[in-house]
Amino acid sequence: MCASAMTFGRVWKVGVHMQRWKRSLESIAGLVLAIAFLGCGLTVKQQAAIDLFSAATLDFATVGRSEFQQSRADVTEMNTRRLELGDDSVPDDLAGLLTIERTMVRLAALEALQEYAQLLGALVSTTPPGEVKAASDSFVASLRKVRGVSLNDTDASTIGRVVVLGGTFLIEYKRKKAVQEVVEVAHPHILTTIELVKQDFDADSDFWSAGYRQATQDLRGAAAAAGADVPAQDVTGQALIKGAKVLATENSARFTVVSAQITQAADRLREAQQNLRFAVHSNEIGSQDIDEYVSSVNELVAIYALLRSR
Amino acid sequence: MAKKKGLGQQLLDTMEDVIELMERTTDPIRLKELDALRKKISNEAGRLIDAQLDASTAEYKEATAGLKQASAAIRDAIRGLEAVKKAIEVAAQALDLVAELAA
Repeated sequence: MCASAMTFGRVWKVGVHMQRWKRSLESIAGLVLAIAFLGCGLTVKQQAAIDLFSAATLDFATVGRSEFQQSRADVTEMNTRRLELGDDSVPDDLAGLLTIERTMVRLAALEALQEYAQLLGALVSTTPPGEVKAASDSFVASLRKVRGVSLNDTDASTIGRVVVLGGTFLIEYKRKKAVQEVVEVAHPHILTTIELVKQDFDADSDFWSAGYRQATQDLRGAAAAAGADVPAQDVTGQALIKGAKVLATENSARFTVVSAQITQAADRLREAQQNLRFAVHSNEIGSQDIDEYVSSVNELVAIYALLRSR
Repeated sequence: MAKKKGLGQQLLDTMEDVIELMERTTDPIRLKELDALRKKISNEAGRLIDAQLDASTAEYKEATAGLKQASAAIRDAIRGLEAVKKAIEVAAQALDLVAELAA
């Protein structure tokens, strides 16, 4: 019994010894793999580029969303003035052509850009896997609401899958793969979305900007027509006409400036998205490729704050 | 190559000319006629918002040419080289072409 116990003790010691060796080997292998994968992760420059892109795109989306809402409010105000001037052609919906339906479609495009930026931001930071997954789901859902964008199930599941992998293991290598796949799969849809936003603020297009221009001209026209009916000594009436003209001129001038800034920033965003696509694949490319876009968005934000702060 | 304006924006260019003529017109009858024209143009422009028309069709080109003629006639009227009544007629014809296209 004693011999058996001694034999058991030796066997147990050998077993413990082997387990220690195994654990040591696993640790070393893990360390080697971690070092190897660490080298395959996003470089500091790449992370900086994605961070800058993400922050600037959030700003761009915020300004764009605000301008759709503010310009719609402008049209309502201008049409109210037309009523006061006695214009009988004012539409029942005072927002005129900038209807709720048209507005919602536009806001959906900007929401998709915002969700994209938030997802990229979450992927390059230490965001809990659950939050990354939520960001991914929000991005897919918002992209599907954008008019003219058709995200198929394969692309949608690819975004969801890579995000789960990237978030769960928190390995730099996986994170990089996740960013690469999200940027790649989202690329054509993001370009389409940017183009939709841009065309709305294009002064030559028949989209949102045309609806706004129509409203400013209608107010100016109503003021010109009212001028014949209001005697020069009618101070209140003349003030109403003058105020309407000033409002139409101011709104038109501001919308022209803001639109030009937004279309310029949209062009830079398109270039930045293309650069980002290369940046996440090349260790040599960094934030300098996003700088022009960031600069354009900063200018847009500054000018917008000046023009819209009432 | 310069980017082409949408038909709605071209119509709004004509509307801008009409309003400028309104601001310079003293005859109340002509002013009412111009205001009626302004409202019709605005209505047609509204129908073109978010519409993507084929700019290569003969009808589109005809409507575009009509609007250019209308703007030229209105500008002449602003400078006193053309009667306001004549400018209104030319603009109304152009508007008919646009209305057919947008229908």
